[in-house]
Amino acid sequence: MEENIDKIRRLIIASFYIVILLGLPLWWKTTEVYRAQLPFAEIEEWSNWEAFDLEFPTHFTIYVANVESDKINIANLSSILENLIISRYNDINAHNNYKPQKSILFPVKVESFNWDSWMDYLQDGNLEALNSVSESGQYVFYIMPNTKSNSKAKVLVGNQRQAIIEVNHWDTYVIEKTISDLITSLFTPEQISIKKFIMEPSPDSKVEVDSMRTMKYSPQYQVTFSLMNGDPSNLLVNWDIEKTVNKYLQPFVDKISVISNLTVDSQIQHYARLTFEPHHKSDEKILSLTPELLPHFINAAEWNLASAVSSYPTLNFILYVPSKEQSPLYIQDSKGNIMESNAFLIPRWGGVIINNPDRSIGSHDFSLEELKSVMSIFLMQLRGLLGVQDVWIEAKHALDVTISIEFVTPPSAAVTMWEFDSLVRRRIAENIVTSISTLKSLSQLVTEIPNMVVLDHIQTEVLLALDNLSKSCANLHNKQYDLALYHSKKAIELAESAFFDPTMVSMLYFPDEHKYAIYMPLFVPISVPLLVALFREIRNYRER
Amino acid sequence: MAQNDTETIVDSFFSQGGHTNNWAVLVCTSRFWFNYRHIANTLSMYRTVKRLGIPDSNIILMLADDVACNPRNAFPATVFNNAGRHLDLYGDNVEVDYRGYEVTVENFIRVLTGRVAPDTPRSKRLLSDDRSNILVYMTGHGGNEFLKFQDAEEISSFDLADAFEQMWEKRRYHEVLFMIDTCQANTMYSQIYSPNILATGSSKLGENSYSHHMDTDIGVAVIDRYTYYNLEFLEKVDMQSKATLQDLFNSYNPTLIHSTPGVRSDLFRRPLDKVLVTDFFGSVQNVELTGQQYNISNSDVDHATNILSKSSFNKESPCESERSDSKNFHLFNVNSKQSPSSLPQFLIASAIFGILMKLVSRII
Repeated sequence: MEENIDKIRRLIIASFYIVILLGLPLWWKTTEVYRAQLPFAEIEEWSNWEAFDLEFPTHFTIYVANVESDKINIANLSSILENLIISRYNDINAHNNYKPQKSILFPVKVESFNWDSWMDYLQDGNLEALNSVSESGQYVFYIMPNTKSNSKAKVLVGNQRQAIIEVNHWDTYVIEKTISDLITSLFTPEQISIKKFIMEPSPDSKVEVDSMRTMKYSPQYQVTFSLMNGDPSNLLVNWDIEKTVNKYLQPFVDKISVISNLTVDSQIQHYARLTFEPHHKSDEKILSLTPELLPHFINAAEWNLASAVSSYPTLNFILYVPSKEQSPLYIQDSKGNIMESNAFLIPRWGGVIINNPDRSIGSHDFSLEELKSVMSIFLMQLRGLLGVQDVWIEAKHALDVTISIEFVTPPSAAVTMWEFDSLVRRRIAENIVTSISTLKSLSQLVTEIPNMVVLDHIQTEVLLALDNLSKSCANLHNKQYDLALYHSKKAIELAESAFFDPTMVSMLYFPDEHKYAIYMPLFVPISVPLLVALFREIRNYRER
Repeated sequence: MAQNDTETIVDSFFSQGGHTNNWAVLVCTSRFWFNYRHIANTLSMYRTVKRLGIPDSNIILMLADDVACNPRNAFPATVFNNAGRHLDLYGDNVEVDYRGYEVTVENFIRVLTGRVAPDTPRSKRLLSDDRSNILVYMTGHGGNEFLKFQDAEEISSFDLADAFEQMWEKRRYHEVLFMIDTCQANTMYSQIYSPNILATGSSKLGENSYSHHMDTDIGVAVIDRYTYYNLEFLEKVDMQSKATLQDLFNSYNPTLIHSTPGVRSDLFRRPLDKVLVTDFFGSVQNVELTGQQYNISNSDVDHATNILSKSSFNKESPCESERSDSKNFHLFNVNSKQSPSSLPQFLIASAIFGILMKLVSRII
């Protein structure tokens, strides 16, 4: 009988424990934070900057005129040039304390061309007539003897990926030197800026003018042209901005749309007053703005420049017409000279031009001719804001003065192929580096904050981003720059959308003490009789 | 030569701290009429940063309660921060981005980290980048390492530190000034671990922060001491001002504030006496003079002929004229509506109601 009671009691106690033991995994499972597995190892591999080396294959084809060909040793020229350029690069890298790049290769192909048949075109600078195949990453130089008897070497830069070089001495050594000088000075600034992305992903390492001016990459920018009228009571202004934009800006917008889309809108605002009084220039009847006043030219409180149309970055371009009391208004440079362009740029924000129209008839319609010069300044500023760099101008500064550089008329797109290619390369590098660092940040956050939920679509986006990254690099390797750009854009888009996903906000921070405080009142009262019963049973069992 | 030129330009940019835009996140976390002063604190800050040039589009203003339209408000549609009532903070052009029940810990964290729903309007987003200086100002009721949001929930110093870290990971700021006015405020920034953050608070662990004075017609305290003395300093700052944050912090007087304000600068890399007040409370626009213009080829002319003609060579580059003159200037819009001195009235008011104040002014 007593045996039976003992048995029942043990069964009862055991059943409690069985329920608890079965319940524990269920409790564990239901309170668990759902986390999709992220490819941490792969992200880690990508973010290893040391091993990471972006490759921008660049080929040069050099056509040498077949005049006095006995003086030129064409056979060895290509290998000599290759070695020369690589050694120059390594010098520059060493000078900047960069590690020597592993994959840097500048294959140079040298061919001779029939001077007689092309002479006319080349001397005219008619580069288009030379049916050169123009592919991204392939550049063509035509080398010919100097036709005029001045001593300077002369370079004529084309809009496509070619340049004509007239050397002053028809001699192998001079050709070698000129070409290697040109190539290094053309591609070094870009290489250095790309290096900076890769080696020092943090922006605070060195502040640069360019990095401050150039907008961060965005798939779309909103460009707003504003005509601000200081006082419409005695001067009404109007502009045909649509026509101007279609005529002068559209080619640029079309060209650059491969990299980022630009949406353009415009507005006219009246009673746009300045917040300060410009200085009166004592000797003349004009008012002037000293550079110290320019930073608060924009009346942020009253001018309505914020747009709520999209969340993409906005670029503002303002054509300001001052009121009667404040005109004519001119900008002084730091030396006190009146600036002819009357314009200034605000980094990562936009540009401003001050215009003093004729006030005699009380209204002013900006003519297309006036708007053209306005637009040409805006274009210059827009180029700066979007990061288009004059590769040749920069090269000119780096080169010695013995080489004179001339340009074929710039294309209507306001960006030459040289500049465009350079921008594409820099944006690819920026996108790849940014998406890798975004993914890295994501994986770090997920590791650091254990109660952050990671849903399946985050995992998908991360995997796709990684896939796009490797595709982009593979395309770069195969010289398919447009595909590489496309995939790098995709990669950054996916990485950002994973990072900024609204579900990725971690739960409120619960310290462990709080958790104990919640579970204590429930578990302590239950656990006491259970434990006591268990101990008693064990004691009974031992006594027996 | 050319390289040297670039370097001097770089220097002139760098000396200004290296940011291109300013943002402000101003949060009032308490509800109800008797917390009038917290709304006034926040609106005063809002007015100051706007006066110093930060546009509304770059200010995220979070107000938990609308005391201006409270039935108990004897002066409807106004908010004053002084018993003198010279300046209506609610007057013209106040753009509240998150109001009422939208002011939650979750929304605050979402704003900071940028993880907002895709349909969020632009005005509710903090669209800062790696060149943004951000002022984060918070006021409300708090305690050791927490700040209460609307009597319903609270944000802990850990949440805040994690949010800043997430911002840093994605380079959503260049520098942050975190300013908080609440009881035991200094504990709120104790957990922050991300670089380039400067933090200041009204009182140390175990101390309360007190209100400054009350307005007997409004019937409640109208401003807190720490904010009051901050504003007293900031009112003297205009856009041209060269006052530094060191000057601001030196102006704190614990006997006047009735608590010990703290400053945490170990994460910040610039010396405080080089950091202008306007680097955070104002908007700085760097300026670069454009001396060049792009030579748009005339598209009226047939492109082919244009190229064939010999005369189409430009002797110079497409970008004419001299190198652009880069300069970075650091000055501000003057827009200050200097209110006439309210000192006499204030002295009289505080003399009469001094005793009453002592009794009434509550612990924050």
